[in-house]
Formats: sequence, C-alpha cells, structure tokens
Amino acid sequence: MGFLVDAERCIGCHACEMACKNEYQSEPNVRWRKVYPINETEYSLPERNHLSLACNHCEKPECLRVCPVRAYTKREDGIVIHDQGRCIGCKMCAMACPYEVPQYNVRLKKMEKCNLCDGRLDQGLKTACEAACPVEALSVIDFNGFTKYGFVIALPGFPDPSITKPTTRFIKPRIGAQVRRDQ
Amino acid sequence: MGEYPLILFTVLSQLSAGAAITLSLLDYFTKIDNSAGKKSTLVVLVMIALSLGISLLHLGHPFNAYRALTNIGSSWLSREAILFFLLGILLLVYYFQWKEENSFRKSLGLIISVVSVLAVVSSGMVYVLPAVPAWNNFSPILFFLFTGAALGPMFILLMLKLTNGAFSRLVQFTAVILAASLMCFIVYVSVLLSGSGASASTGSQIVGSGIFWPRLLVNWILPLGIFAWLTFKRISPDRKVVCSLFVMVFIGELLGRYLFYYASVALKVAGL
Amino acid sequence: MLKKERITRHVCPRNCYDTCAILAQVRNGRIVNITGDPAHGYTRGKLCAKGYSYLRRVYSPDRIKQPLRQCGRGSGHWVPVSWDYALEMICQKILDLKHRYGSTLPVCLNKYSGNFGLLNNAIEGLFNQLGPTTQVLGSPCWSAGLDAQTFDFGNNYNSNPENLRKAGLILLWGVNPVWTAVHSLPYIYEAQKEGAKVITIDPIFSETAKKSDLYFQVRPGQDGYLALALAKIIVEAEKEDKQFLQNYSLGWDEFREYLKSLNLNKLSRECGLNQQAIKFLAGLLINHSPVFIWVGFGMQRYANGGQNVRAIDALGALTGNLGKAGGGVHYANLRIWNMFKFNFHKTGYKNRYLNINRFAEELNQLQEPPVKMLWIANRNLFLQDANLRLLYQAIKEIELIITIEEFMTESTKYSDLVLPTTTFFEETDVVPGYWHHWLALNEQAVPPLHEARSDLDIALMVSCKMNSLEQGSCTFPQSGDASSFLDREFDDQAYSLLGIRHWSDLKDSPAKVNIPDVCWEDRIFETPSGKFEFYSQRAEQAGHPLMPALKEQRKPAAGKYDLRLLSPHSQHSINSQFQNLDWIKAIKPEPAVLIHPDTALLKSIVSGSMVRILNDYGEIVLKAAVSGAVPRDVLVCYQGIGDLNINRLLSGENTDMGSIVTGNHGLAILDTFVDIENQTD
Repeated sequence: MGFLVDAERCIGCHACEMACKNEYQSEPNVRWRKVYPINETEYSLPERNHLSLACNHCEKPECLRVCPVRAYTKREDGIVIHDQGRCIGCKMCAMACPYEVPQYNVRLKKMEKCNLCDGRLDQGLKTACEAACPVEALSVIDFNGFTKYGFVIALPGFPDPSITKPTTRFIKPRIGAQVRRDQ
Repeated sequence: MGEYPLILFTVLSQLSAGAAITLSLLDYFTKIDNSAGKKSTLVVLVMIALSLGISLLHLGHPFNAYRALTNIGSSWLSREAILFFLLGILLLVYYFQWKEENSFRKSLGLIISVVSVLAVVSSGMVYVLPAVPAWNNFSPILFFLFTGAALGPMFILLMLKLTNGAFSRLVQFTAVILAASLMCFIVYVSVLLSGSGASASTGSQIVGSGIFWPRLLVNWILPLGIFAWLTFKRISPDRKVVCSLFVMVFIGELLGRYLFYYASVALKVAGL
Repeated sequence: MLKKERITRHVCPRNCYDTCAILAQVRNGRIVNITGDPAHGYTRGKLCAKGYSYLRRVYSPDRIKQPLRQCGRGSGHWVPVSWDYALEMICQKILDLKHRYGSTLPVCLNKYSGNFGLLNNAIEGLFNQLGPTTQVLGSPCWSAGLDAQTFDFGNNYNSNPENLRKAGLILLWGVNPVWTAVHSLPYIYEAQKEGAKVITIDPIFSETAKKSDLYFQVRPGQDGYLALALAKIIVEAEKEDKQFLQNYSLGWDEFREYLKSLNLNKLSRECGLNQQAIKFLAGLLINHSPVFIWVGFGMQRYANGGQNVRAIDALGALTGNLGKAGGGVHYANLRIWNMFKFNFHKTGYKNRYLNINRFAEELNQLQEPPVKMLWIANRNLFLQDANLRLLYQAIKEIELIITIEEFMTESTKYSDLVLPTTTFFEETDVVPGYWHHWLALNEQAVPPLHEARSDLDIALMVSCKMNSLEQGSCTFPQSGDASSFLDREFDDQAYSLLGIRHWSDLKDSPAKVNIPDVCWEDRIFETPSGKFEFYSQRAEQAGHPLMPALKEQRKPAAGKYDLRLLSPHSQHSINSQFQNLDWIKAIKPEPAVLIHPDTALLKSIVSGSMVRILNDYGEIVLKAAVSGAVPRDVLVCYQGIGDLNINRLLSGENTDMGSIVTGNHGLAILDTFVDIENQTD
C-alpha cells in the first residue's frame, strides 16, 4: 500500500494536512502530513508547485532499520507502523529518514508519524487525508493490483528515492502556457 | 538541550575506549604497577558509566533505555549500546584482576581492546546514514577512532604517571595521530566543499561556522606546534606539557563534535 | 461504558464563496471530530484547511472565557468581570449619553462580515431598537462590482456554480479559487476533462494561474481595457451574437460605435498585453462556447473597478454567453440572502450612517453630536480598516469601546470591554451564502463554552438590562431564543424555495434553494428596460459613464511611491481570522512581500532581506521574497500577516461604484502605492 499523489490535480490547499490533524488532534507542531511548497527554481518557469507528503511507507524503511527498540514494523500490506508504546524518543529515526517523516512530540517525548490511518483502513474507511482532499488528488493504491502506467517515483524537490524505495507514487503536473506583460 | 548529551557521550566514550585499549596493551606488553593499573581501570570504568548515563539524557524516556538493546539485528544504535555496556562489564572484571602476574588479565585486556574498537566503530556506524550525505561514508568511524586514539593514550599516560620509555613513545604516537587526523579532516572538508547539494552545504556550514578556526587551533595547530617546537629544541615533554596538550585536544574534540552534529545537512524535501 | 454520541450539522459562517456544510461528531458533550457534510451538493463532504482547523478554534486555550474589562486602553491590564457588571457598564453609558446629548446618536456600531450567520445580525437589530444610532454602511469588499452588475443586469445573480462543468471555456478573471474557493475546482476539472480550456487573467501568477491551461498577465486594474480590446476584436471580426444583441440588449449600437472609436494600440498598451496575445485570447472566446466568466472581487478594488466589471459584463453579453448553461458573467449571488426579511433588524429610527470605508475620517468630523461609545462586532476593525492613523486619533474622544470576540485581537487592544462570544458550534443559526445555491443549518452541538454568549443572546441581555434601568429604553426583544427568531425569519415563500416545511428540517440535510439554475436564462433582465444595458441611465444618474467606458486608473505620483502594492486574500486566513490558531501558524508561510527579481536587483534586495514598505500613511517592515510570480511594478503582500498590519498603508480611497447596492462606495484597496527599501542598509 502506498500513497498516490496526483500533482496535476493537487492545488496545495493543505486540506489533507489539516484533516489529518483534525482526525488525530495532534500537537500543533507535529505534522504527519505536510504540504511542501516547491521552490520556483525547481521548474523552468516560475511555477508554483506543491508536494503533499506523509510517511512514504518505504520498501526499505530506514526508520525501521535504525530504531534500537523495534518500535517500527512493516505490515504485510506494506504499511510502516510506529508503535509509540515502545518508543523511547531517541530520535534516531528522525535522523535516518530522508523525508523528515518521524517527528518528535515534545509533550509525550516520543516520536510519531503517519501510520497510513491503519485503524481507518482496517475498518474499510479511506485515510483522513484522502477523504478530505477536495480535488481527489490523493489516494491509497495497492501495489498488488497495480497495473496503471504513467506514475513516477519522484518529482522535483523529492529526495532520492533509491535510498529507502518509497512506495509513494506521483502523477506529474502539466505545465500551462504563460503570457506575460510586455512592460 | 539539543545534542549536547550526544556530544559529551561520544567524546567521553571514545576517550574511555582509547584509554582502555592503551591500558590493556601496556599491560600486555609492558609492566604496570598494580595499584596504578587498578586505579586507572576504575577511572575508565567510571567514565564509561558516566558517558552512558549522559547519553540517556538525550532520550525522551531515559528509564526505558534498556529497550534500546533489543534490535541488534539491524540497529547500530543497539549494537553501540550493547558493546559499550559489554565494555563496562569487562572493565569491571578487569578491575578485580589487578593482583600479581595474571595471564587471564592480559588475555582479558586483549578482548577489551577488541571490544573497544568495535564499540567505537559501531558508534560511528550509527551516523552512516544515506539521509545525511556528509556522514554517509567512512568519516564518522574514522574521526571517532581518531578521537579515541588522540585522547586515550595521553589520558593513561597521565593516570599511570609513566616514566620515560613508554611515555615518549605514547607522546610520539599522539603526535602522529593528530597529524593524521588533521590531514583527514582537511581532505574531508575539501571533498564536501567540492560536492553538491547537502554535502556542499555541510562543508560550507563547517567552514562558515564561528568555531571552525578555534577548533583547528586548539585541536591541531597548537598541539602540533608544541610537538614540533619540542622536537626542534630536543626537549622531552613533561607531565605539565602533556596535561595541557590533553586539555587542548579534549576541548578541540568537543568543538569538533559540536560541528559534526550542527553543521551536517540532511536531505530535505523541496531541495535546499 | 455507554458512550453518548451524536452527529450534528453545521455550516461555516465565514465570509467566503464556499459556505461549507460540516458534520460534527459529539461525544459526551465534546466535539471529537469534524468532517465535511456529504449531503451538501456543492461542497460534497470536503472542507478546506481552515475548516479542518475548527476544533482547534473551539477548544483553543486562547478563547476569551469571560467578559474582560481593560483598565487603561492599550495597557493590557485585563480584569475579568461578570456579565451583569459588563451589561451594567454598557447600558449605563448608553443612558448617560442619551441624557447628556438628548439622543442616542453618540452610540455607534461598526459591524461587518466576521460571521455571516443570520442571527449574528442581532447586534444591529439591538442598535436599531435603542433609538437613532450611528452605524456604518457599506462594504470594503465587493461594492463596486455589485453596482456594475446591477447597472448591466439589474441585479446580482449567478448561475449555480456547478454549471462550471458545462463550460467550453472558463475565464477566471482576477479570482484565485485555488486559494479562496477550493470547492469550485472539481467542477473546473470536470470541464477540463470534457475539453474545456481554463484561462486565468490576473496581474499575479497565482496558484489558480498555475492550474490553468493559459495565463494572461494583465496590468493591475486595467482589466477593463483588456475586456474592451477583446470586445473590439470580436466585433471587428463580426463574431458578436447579433440575435442576442438585437433582442435582449439596450444601447448596443452606441456601444459598438464606442468600440470602433477605440484604438487597439492604446488598449494593448494600457492592459499590458501585446496585440497578438489579445487576438489569440479573442479567438478562444470566439471558438469556444459557452464561456463561463468568473469575475473576482480583486479587480474591482480600484478607483476604476466598477468600470472594469461593466466592461467584462459587456464582453460576456456581446459574445452571447448570458443566460447559457455553463456560460455567463458571474460575480456574486444575493438571492439566498434576499430570501430573508431580517425582521429583527427593522428600525423606526433615523440612524446616522457613516461610510464604512471612510470611518475614521467621518468619525473625526462628526460634531452634533460626536460619537462617544463604539461597539465593534464581527470585525477586527483595527486590522481591517483603512487610514488607521486617523482611526487611532478618532477613538481618543470615545468614552467606551466594546468588542465582541472569540479571541484577543488587534482590536481588543483598543477596547475597554471585551465580550466573549460563541463559535458556531455553540449556537443555532442558518448561514446564507453568496455563491452556491444551498442553505444549511447550524445546530448547537455543545452548550456555549466558558461564559461565551451568542450575538443574539448578548442583544437580548442588553435589551433586558436597558429596560431594567429605564423602562422602554430599548424595544429589541428581551426574551426568546434562536429558534423563535428563526421561526419569524422563515416565511412560506422561503419554505417553498427550500422545499422544506420547517427550518428544523435542515437538520436532516442542507437544502438546495429552488432559484434558477442558470441566471438570466429567459434573457429577461431586471434593469429598467428589462434588457441587458450597455447603456445605463441608472449609471449615469449615479454619476458614472452611461456605457462601460475606459476610465483612467489611479496612478502613482511621479518619482515617489511608484510601486503598486497588491494585498489579495491569503491562503490560510479569511481576512484576519484563523491566523491566531497554532495549527494554522504551523502551515502558514512567514509573512513576506513578493518582489520581482529585476526590481529586487534594482533595490539591492534578496530573498530574506528585511525590507521597509512605506508611503505617506504608514510603513511596515517584513521579509522580502523574490518571485517571478509578480510583475516588475508591483509588490504583493497577501493580507493576513497578523500584527504587521498591512492596512497601515491603505489611504482609504474609494472605488468608483458601490453606493447603489451597499449604500456606499467600496474601498480601492489595490490603489495603494508604496516604496520599498532594504532595511539592512
């Protein structure tokens, strides 16, 4: 299982991020999902693009490798789960993740991250972010039944996917034409 | 509190490991006064315990730190913790072996040396992370070993109140280690600066940091200068000189470790 | 343990296109989760980021918990007082002023759009029953465009915006729905999927421009020139809809002559786009049908704003797009509001009305009698008003300033008494919107938190207190609740439009209002002539040109303050609202002024430089962000930058139109000229 981010549809509205916060009532500065504005210079024209990212539920999760307390497990369906009960707050995972996913909860003194709404998925519900996206730019795809082409594994601004093999897939944004003022 | 516990933990634990190796090898190859050896072992043991204690301050939940020993299968942090813990136990046993000629102690000393090296190497491996390009190479291991090798011998030399023969050899060894680590550091920073992305930023963070030059000065330039001057003047260093050299290098290593943590730039979404 | 759980229906009352329906999950007397309401046909179960942050607002530790009295305005020394004390203080002041001046005119209300709940107008109702009072009239927001469409069409109606999906060409003209109306995007995408082209015309390369097939960068405030240039090209190609023009328009011949007289070179120069680009756009307008033009509020916030909108209306008319499903020129819809009679609002007194957009100036000039008590409701006056320096001056003579608020704001700083009010989860109300064709209900999910009271309850309490101090001094009801007030607001006509028997039926589902899905479909307009009026006598009577004609825009004085400052709505706040919440702070970019790379170079500014923006009215200091999204002669600073208070730079100049619909001219916010300096110099 992994997220499919349709950057062509995404409008960078942050509804996904805030819906995630609303669902889990997380601490103000802990952001399981983040919408990143991508630097203008990443594209040839001054574009405004965004990447909506949560945990990438990697095939080779670094968090899972480095965690000294086995707080991370990878479910059969691919979801990387962080068990806050085991976590001792050593922040090793935060250092090792190339995507700034695990974040430190100052109140609980533990790490936390997106568990792909495992509880909701198990009840047959959509993830909070997918359910909230007003433009249907986010979805969760099952790689076993995965036949569609046209997905890419990275977009400008997304760190090297060869390290941890994220399961997040993207649809590239189209670039429209611009007519600028003469003077 | 930031990374201060980690700075102290790594430098102290590497100093202890270097000291443990020096002590056990001296014991193996030369003759050491029993009470001095026993006292030194105790001090090293206390330092290891202290550094492990300090490392707990880095944790959100220090009292659950025992759990950190449970993932030796893949986590270098687990391995590091286990090895330093093991080193502590071995030193404790070692401590009680300081009486007369004792071949068990000498063999134990060799095991301690091996475990010490492994512990420092695993400390380094903790930071070999693809997410931090500046660390994702042999440099953390190399510089951690250098720290142990530069500080450990001087520490033992001072503890044992050694006399001339072994004393001057250990001082020479320290000088060589310092020279080598300076060269490696220069190469390392040059490679970072000539790179791109996160590596280059790390390089410029290191050089641009206000403590880059102070660190160079107290860690390498001053100590090596003093060595050169003493050699040129054919003066053999005394305890006072070694003591001040030790303090300089120790401060230099702490500054260096601060740079290690704060200048390293990780991969980031949306580029730099 | 048995959990008491229920779902309540809500609707967001913010000043926003989308007026979303919300469901709240209430467990043991606490709201534990909110989602969009899937029963709402337009917002379809989705909310925006601001919407999903609402629980943080309701349960914020920063909520004002009881009435607070400030000992010394601006001192920050707040003392909690009882409601009774606060009411006594207010009512004694009113009576004292009434006896001192022989009239209640020294009592002034400044209320605007912080909460569009129907019953949030109760404070106005209260003021209307105290005697003749001083109140503000007008809107800083949309006035000019409302008048323009009133001159052209006779009223302010739109098609159900779901019709976007039927468009062949969508012109998003000076509107940024990606930030300010996210729920329209699915309909735009649907149209795109069916082959429609989406074009954004905007001075700024906005997020909406980014999502469009084509972006045209127009010179700020010169949209009318572009519209007239397009009209001229289309008419010269004889591609106008002759049948429509002949049967359903007034003054076409005159307007055609006017178009002929225009010089395309000049039009092109003025709107900033070269002729080739304009001709290309005209070609698209000719070859695609229907054309859905969405006219944003931004382009009319200029001294020539009303004319801009009239020119675009004319373009929509002559291309024959009016009254077509998926076509038309859409600005705002007043039909839902007009369903209500605002019975509790009626007054028998002759109030003294001040122009909301010249509030400080007019306040300073008032003498007989001066204003001595100011009540601020649904507004963060000291962040959102213009000409703030004058305002600070004007309030010095005011003896009591009262603000109703949920949180401490810039305006509470200047208040003597702050009354805590409820969020919409703590009160019952309906919220009419101005864009889509739905009406939804707010149920009371939880009792008022702390000592907060709804605006209606506050009005009732004040009336009680007034009458207990002096019988008959206030004729606003002293008892009743939201239900009884709503009962009086909904009449048979409203119920038949909504297809419900009682407003409480809205607890089952929001209702689609049975108004024409496509506006002006019958081509019968509400103008005096019943036709689309290129030629509007009413406009002329109001002092405007008869026809949508070129109107010189306000230009900067030569050599000084030669950069135009645009301050459009930001992504994560509604005017000043939401920006105090920590959840929103976490996602909101740091305040910055956007500056074109060439201009930045000229002024030795780089991204991250601290810069000072200044003019004769004030100055602000903030970070610069160099961006190719803005033109060279323009600085962009999205509003909602908190206490930095961009409104310090506003002159308070008014728009050309606005007095017909809103009672006063609008605020020409975008005719603001400034200089920028590198602060580090």
